[in-house]
Amino acid sequence: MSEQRVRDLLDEVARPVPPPDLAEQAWRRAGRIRHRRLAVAGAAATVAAVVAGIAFLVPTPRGDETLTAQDLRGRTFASTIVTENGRARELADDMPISLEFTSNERFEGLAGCGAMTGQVRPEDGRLDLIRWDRATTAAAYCTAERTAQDQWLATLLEAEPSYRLTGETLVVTSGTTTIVLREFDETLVDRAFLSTEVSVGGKRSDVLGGVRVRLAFARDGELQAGVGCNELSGPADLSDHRLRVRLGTTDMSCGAVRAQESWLGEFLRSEPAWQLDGHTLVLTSGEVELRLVDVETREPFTPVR
Amino acid sequence: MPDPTAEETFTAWAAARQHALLRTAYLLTGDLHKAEDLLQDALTKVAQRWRRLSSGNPEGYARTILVRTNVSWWRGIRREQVVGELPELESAEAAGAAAESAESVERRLVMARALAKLPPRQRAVLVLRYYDDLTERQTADILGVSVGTVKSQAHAALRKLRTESPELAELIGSTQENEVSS
Repeated sequence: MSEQRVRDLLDEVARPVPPPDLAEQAWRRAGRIRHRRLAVAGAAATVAAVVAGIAFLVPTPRGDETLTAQDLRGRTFASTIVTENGRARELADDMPISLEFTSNERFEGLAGCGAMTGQVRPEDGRLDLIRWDRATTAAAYCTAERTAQDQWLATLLEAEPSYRLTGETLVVTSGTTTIVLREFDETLVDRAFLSTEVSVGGKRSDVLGGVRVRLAFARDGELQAGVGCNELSGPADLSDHRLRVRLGTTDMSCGAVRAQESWLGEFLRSEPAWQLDGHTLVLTSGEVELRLVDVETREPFTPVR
Repeated sequence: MPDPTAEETFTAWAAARQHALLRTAYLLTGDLHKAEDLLQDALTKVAQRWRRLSSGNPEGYARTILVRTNVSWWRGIRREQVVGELPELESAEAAGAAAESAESVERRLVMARALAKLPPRQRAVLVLRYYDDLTERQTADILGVSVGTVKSQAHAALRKLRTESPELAELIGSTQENEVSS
């Protein structure tokens, strides 16, 4: 059976498949999923605030009011508390407000229905809306309440609200309305990494002996790790740029990589600090540094078809 | 003129590639409805990560999602799996029937049935290697297996096609000596 004949046969089977029309639908669906995720994050943060006994109290420490667009670039914030005239404003379907600063001066706002994008410049403690780019509407999800909430956010942003950023908390205020947003860190979520190098005291180490470590951070907060045999996994806490994980493991006999597995388990349990620089993840514990690269950066390939 | 938004660049990419990806998904599943669901999931996942993927390899990522999701779906329904008869393509087939010879229709149906008899990983190896023209290394990366596994699965898939679908070998003229090489 020749290679070309297999190709021809597969091509014959696939040829009648009609073209789909899924591109815009997929984008809208991704937006809805992201918004639901933010809702969960916002709800969790609100619960945390209540537990801490500070519900509905807007933080008052002085923050950084001299931000530039560059400082906000790549950061996403989801609302935890919204107040009007000192009282909590109920959000439609409990969907949080989110502001994502996508690139230089560009942002995307979500308030429950569609997505609004535009250009905004932080200046003198105020968010100066330069222009709207576009507003998209996910009609199927736009109840009257959600549509009104979209309009409410758009009006607030057009009124040059003041802002204050304190650590991961962004407070946006316009008149008697205040939105407190927390940064939503999803930099490692849904990503997998492969090791490229281990160094000890700045010198390259051969502790992995040519075996590559794979780390995957799942959306449910679980870390999966391994060197090709057993799977080490457990809930991971990534706060404060430190990886704290309670690892369990499968129990297969892996003679060839047993030493590397032990090393990896010990390293991960040592609560290494983590830093993400573009596609490179660096885990550091004491003098040991493990560098990994995002698997999405593998050499691109695009089949000819 | 403002730079295109992420939505615009994504929809342009997806519009250009969705047909090719749907064909791959169809070969993987043997069912047009499942293929569309699979593609929808894959495109949504690409859209969720578009800002990271747009400057990299979105198509490779989409293909990985297609293959891996299909394998996991298949695990869930393997007891109910039936041999594909391509019923969902009947209308398209009817429309093109005048231009397509009876012989090529038969050949296509036989190949589709033969593919449906393959385990999902073997089918994925065939589709990725010989339909999507990926290398063994690229195929191994997508499936999360070694290059050696890709070779052995490809070999097993071709042998199964020949032994379980002798009419296919007759149609295309089997030449075992001329085995597919890497």
